[in-house]
Amino acid sequence: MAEPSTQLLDWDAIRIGDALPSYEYVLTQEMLDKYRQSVEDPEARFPTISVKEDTSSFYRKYHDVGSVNARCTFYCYNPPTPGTRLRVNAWIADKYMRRGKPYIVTEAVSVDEQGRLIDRVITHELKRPSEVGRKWNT
Amino acid sequence: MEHVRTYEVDQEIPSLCKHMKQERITLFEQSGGYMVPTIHTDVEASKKITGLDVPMASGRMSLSFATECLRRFFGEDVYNRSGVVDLRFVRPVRHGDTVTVGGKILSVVQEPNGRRVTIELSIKNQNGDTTAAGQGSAVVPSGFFPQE
Repeated sequence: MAEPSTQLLDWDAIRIGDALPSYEYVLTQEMLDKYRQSVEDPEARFPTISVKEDTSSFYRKYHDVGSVNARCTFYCYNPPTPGTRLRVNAWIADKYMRRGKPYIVTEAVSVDEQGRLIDRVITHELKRPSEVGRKWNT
Repeated sequence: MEHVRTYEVDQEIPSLCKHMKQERITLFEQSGGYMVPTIHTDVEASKKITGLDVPMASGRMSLSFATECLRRFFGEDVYNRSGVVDLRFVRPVRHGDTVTVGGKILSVVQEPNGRRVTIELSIKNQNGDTTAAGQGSAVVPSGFFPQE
């Protein structure tokens, strides 16, 4: 995950409300087709779920030892049309300690070229991913 | 009146079952543009970062399954415009697992343009263990309900 242009995550320094880098991407028919195939749902209309727009924005600014998705909320507003460019705006929505483990909550919204709101996603990431193996490796 | 829909508290929604394969777990990552080895696609990355001996599927795959389950229940005309799913991931899902999404109606609440129908959701694996739990909802327009 480390990129030369990103900074090492300092959990204590992260501030709630901090903006994350905005970015644009073209949602292609190939992305939609692959997404539908991966989830075995030929009617799926929100391939933006696998783009992980919020955490993608997070990792444009920070690098860390990795993380694990602990909770995710996804709002559907308008299914995106393949071939259109989407703009993602993201920010730090929250951070907290739970049972001694650090979490960061990222949030993002995406909008298409016509200004239609496409979706909104909120993700709670456990920033100590080794906890997963400690609990579940059998 | 063929478009009239009924929603009652405790009503169960049709379940949805998925068999997990590593090829599709990997394809899910690739569909989103993630081509480098990750905890979802690579054994070594998984061991190094999470300590798990085998990769686990992205929680967003379970989110996608819940989305499909809710869309089928509400209809795409309703769900794709107002649907929400909120899941906590409580147990890893891996290649070889079979997961089943199920739920029942928790509440039906009047909103300005319709009624928000909220579903209590759970996803269980082949052993009956819960892998994810939470809620989903959609706003069903007033026109879909019988006139009072």
